[in-house]
Amino acid sequence: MGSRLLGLLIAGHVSFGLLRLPAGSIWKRVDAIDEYERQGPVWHFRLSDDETRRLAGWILETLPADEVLLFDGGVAGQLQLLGPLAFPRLLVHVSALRPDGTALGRKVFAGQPPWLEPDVSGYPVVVGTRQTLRWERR
Amino acid sequence: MNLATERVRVPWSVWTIALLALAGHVLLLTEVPLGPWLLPLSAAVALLLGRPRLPSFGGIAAIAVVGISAAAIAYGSIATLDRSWDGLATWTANARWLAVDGTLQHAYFRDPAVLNLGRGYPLLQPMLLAQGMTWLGEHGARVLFPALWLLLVATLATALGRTALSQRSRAVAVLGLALVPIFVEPGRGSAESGFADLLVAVVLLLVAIALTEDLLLLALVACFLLPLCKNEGLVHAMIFTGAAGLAGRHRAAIGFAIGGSCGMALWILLQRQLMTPAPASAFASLLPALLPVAAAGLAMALAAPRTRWAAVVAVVVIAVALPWFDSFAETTVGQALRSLVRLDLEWANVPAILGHGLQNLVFVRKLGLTFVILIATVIVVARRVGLGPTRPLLLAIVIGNLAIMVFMASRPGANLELFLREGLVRYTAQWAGVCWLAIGLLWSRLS
Repeated sequence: MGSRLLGLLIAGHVSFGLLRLPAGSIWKRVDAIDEYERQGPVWHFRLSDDETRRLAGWILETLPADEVLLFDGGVAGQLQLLGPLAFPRLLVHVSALRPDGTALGRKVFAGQPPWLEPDVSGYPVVVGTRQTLRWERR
Repeated sequence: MNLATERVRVPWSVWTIALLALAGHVLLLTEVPLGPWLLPLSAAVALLLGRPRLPSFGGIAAIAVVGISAAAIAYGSIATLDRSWDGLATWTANARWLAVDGTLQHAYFRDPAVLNLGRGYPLLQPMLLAQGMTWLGEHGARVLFPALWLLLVATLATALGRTALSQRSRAVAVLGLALVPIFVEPGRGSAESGFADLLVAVVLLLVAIALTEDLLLLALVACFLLPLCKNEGLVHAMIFTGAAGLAGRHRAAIGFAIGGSCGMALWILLQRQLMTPAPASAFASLLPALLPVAAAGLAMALAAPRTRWAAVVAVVVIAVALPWFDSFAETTVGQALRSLVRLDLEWANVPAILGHGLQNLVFVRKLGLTFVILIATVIVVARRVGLGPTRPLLLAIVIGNLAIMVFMASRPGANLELFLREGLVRYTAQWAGVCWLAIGLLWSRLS
């Protein structure tokens, strides 16, 4: 009885795995890769709102390689995605900003997203929460 | 068995990883860049210690399934960079920055103002990836992930090939592990996710083999790697060291103790170098590195009737006294150990943690029926012929899974929901290879 049950369990595990192989291992993977390739790095923000995706896409396209971007807010959230995606550029906490407009010896990014009001006062800071990224000037 | 014959029980790929880990950590500590020569040199030196061998998976069906799964994982790994946040944000991020100039001197690692979510994460997987990036580019380096998955399955096949298990039964066990969904299907914790859980699963399986076959050299090498894979590696090292000591497997216990302590010491030294400000007390922060040695000594003393009570007293004294050094709790594991000793656990969360833990054992979509089959096999074998020499391994599996839950009970409530939802099953999956080894060994007792 025990051996029979064990045999059924093993057959169940192997059958389940084999049945899932085409859909779970192959097609699910193909679909995820297709979607990622269609959207690019912004795919990572697919669960966020439109503003976050737009802002993230703009930052990743615009931030120069030799400048740093100031950040603030909770790191447990959308900043967890933006930071690594920005590689090899760095995100630096706003507290590291120096009076000469540098942080860590590098020029701080001073651009402004084109869909926001032009504002040359202060320095831009990307503020992250669990679900969103927002742009502020401080 | 002497060391010369034990040498062949350590796979060539594992020798390569261990040599790279040792050399890489020493180089980083001495601020010497990790050059592209490190990986090929490690592989070449490893050839002096062991030769690459093709494993026998036990039959055409097993080979076909392993081949198809490996191809799917390889495609998923290389087609894009990380699609899972943890791999993207921590392990691979550290690897990419390490690959910039081969050192940890960059502001990404050194300056606390820089957004770095992988601070405090061990560097073995990033080191392996960074070396791969140097030779194959960022996409090509991700061949590491299907390679680790193949190593996991091949290691099980090779170990079971040394038992009385029939070829058919071996093939079934190999299939059982190869078809565990969490590694094979895309998603968090999958082989290509970039999480280090697969690396831990490989090393844990090696540790388990060292325990069951009482191999000093494999125990030393594997336990050396454990704390360098993930921070909970120290806990795993102590569990296996204790199990080996209690079971009288002294060669394995000594190997675990030396390897685990050396690995932990290297990692702590590197962590100290990266911390700002640097911790005041070097001695206290290195104390966790002594835990595997302490675990070996105490377990062996507990196993011997003459020294049992002295060992009990020593355990209590050490457990109470050690965590009171503030520097002991610099690491996450140190904090969890201190919370455990002080009984400073989130007791209100314990039912939820236990519930999720039990639920994980039957989380078919992620783990298949791995744990159910293990439990059923234990019952059948225990009734028929007794568990015999598999007891220490089974003890390690039980304590290892309980340790995950205790660790979580020591964490603040804010992290718990996320961990229960996404993290717990990955920690459980680290034991998948060990479980299928135990299943195979139990089946061999019926042969």
